[in-house]
Amino acid sequence: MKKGWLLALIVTFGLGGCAGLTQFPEVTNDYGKALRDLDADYATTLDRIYGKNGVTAAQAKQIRSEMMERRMAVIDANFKEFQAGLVKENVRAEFGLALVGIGVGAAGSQVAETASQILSAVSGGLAGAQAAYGKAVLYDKAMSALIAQMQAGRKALAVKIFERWNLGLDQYPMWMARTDLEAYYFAGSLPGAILGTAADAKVKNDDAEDRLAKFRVTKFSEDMTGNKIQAFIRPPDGKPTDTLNTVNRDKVRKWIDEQSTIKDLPIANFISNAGLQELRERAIREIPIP
Amino acid sequence: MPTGVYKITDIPEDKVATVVANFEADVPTPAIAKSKQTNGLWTVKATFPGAGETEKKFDPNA
Repeated sequence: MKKGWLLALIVTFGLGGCAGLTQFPEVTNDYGKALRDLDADYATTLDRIYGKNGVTAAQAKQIRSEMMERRMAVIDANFKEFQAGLVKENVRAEFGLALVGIGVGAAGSQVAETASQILSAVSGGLAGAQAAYGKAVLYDKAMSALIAQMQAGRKALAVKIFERWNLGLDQYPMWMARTDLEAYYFAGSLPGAILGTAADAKVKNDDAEDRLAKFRVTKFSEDMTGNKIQAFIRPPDGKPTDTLNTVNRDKVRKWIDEQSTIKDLPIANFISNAGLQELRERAIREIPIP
Repeated sequence: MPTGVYKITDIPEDKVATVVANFEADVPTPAIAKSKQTNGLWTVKATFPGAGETEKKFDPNA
């Protein structure tokens, strides 16, 4: 408990000590004015739905749909332009910067075409050119991955929005629709793609952990397949006193690591787990173990 | 490459050395601990270096 309080104190004073770091979002006393200043279109839409004239549930849904159509059209158009810009310009700009960075000179950084830049860089030093070209290719690959992540993130959120499209305002209120639209916009940004990639990596990592979790505690079991692998590792009989054959051990280790379901599983657990008999039979055939 | 903690339980006494040898055959070599269960059988626990240890529990009061 003491450690918890200590941590809270450190975080409070630590963050407080960071000059210029804002710790809370802004608050206001006039939410109506603040909303009109922040997002006039949304404020107007709310007025149309909840205003004095009153609307039916169907009309309210219609007004919400109009707002969403409007916003999605703008977000999509801007994303298209943003994406095209990333593909066409940024790689070239990065390559130019890399060339300047290695001292290829002004001539190299001024030419427009990538091929000319490569030639110019070669004249300034082959090693440097290779480094710059490698950096640009790496950047290109990273950018391609981020663009793919943006497209996937946007698609996933578009599906989510479409599934909620016909819900009434009681089930899909305006604030929720707006939050979904903001998430849709964010998914089509570089920070959104980076976060999405990190989240995917975490899911994959968690999956990997779960995959091995069921093998972490194994009830001892013994059969012919296990004994055969054991004898292969410690010939001739697999006894603890027999010398370890590291070449054979490496073959077994490599085979295990090539199987996605048991990758990184210790050899001991592979040998002693009754549920892995079929895999052991496969290992004996494929390694092969005589 | 294995990481974290793995256990093999319910090992007859005459097979404990074999299980230990199988763990020790691996790369990297784990730290081994043996314990006798109340039913007379044995548990061998191997701790491989690196992440993935499953025995650590979150303690909100720690």
